[in-house]
Amino acid sequence: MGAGKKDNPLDKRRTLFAEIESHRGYLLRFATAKLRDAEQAEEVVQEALLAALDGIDSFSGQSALRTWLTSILKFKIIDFQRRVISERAHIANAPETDDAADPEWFDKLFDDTGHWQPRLSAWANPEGALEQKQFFEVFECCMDKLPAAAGRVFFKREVMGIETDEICKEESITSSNCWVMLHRARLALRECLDRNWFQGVNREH
Amino acid sequence: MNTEGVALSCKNAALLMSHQRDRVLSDIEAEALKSHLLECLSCCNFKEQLGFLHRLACRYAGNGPPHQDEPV
Repeated sequence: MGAGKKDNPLDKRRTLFAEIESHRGYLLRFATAKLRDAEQAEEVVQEALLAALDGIDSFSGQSALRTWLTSILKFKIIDFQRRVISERAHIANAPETDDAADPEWFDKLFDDTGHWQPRLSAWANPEGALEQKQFFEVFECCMDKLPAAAGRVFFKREVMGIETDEICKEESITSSNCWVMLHRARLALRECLDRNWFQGVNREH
Repeated sequence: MNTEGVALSCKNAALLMSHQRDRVLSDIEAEALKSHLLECLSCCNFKEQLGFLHRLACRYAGNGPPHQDEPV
């Protein structure tokens, strides 16, 4: 984009469109957490993004773009759920076989006496990582590696800020099951961030 | 309960620290965790990192990542 073109409304629009697109990954995860189905999530996010582009003029810039997009997405998800319910009488949730690959992986973080192995070191400048775009890419990869249900529960609890009682209802699990799932998700994410970011933080990126 | 309180392993302490973010700990749990943290550096680091994970998730939900990397 050349200098002097900054005030061109077309350019402004194009920039905003590109910026909207950059939130797609987040919105997909949000929708997947709600709908449990990647394909349906894709569909709803597509609808939401189109609606956002359509209604771009009503974006005041008062709230963060992501917040605005999320509110559109929420409406689209509700819409979608109503549609599905009226189309089909009942949607069965496929049973999930989480942790099936290695049910004891989290035990390996501790030795026989229950001590961390290896010991946990402090992270260097974690707040600085929050200013790095690449760090968020690593975070997204780490979330994607979680078992589906654990990823959903973590996203609802920590990203969406939903209370555990409500998550239990939505997921049809007991509270203690929910707490344990959250704990395992946090352990796994901590490990993943440690391995893929903080251990190499002194290296050049 | 004996006077020394409940000795926690790191594994159990980690579980309680995680639970603490989702529910209120019982007095016994809170007390046991407190004394464990007094003498375990790894678990103090874990507690810090749990807090950071929460800030990271909030940031992710809020403005998302910065659009460009800050100069290092």
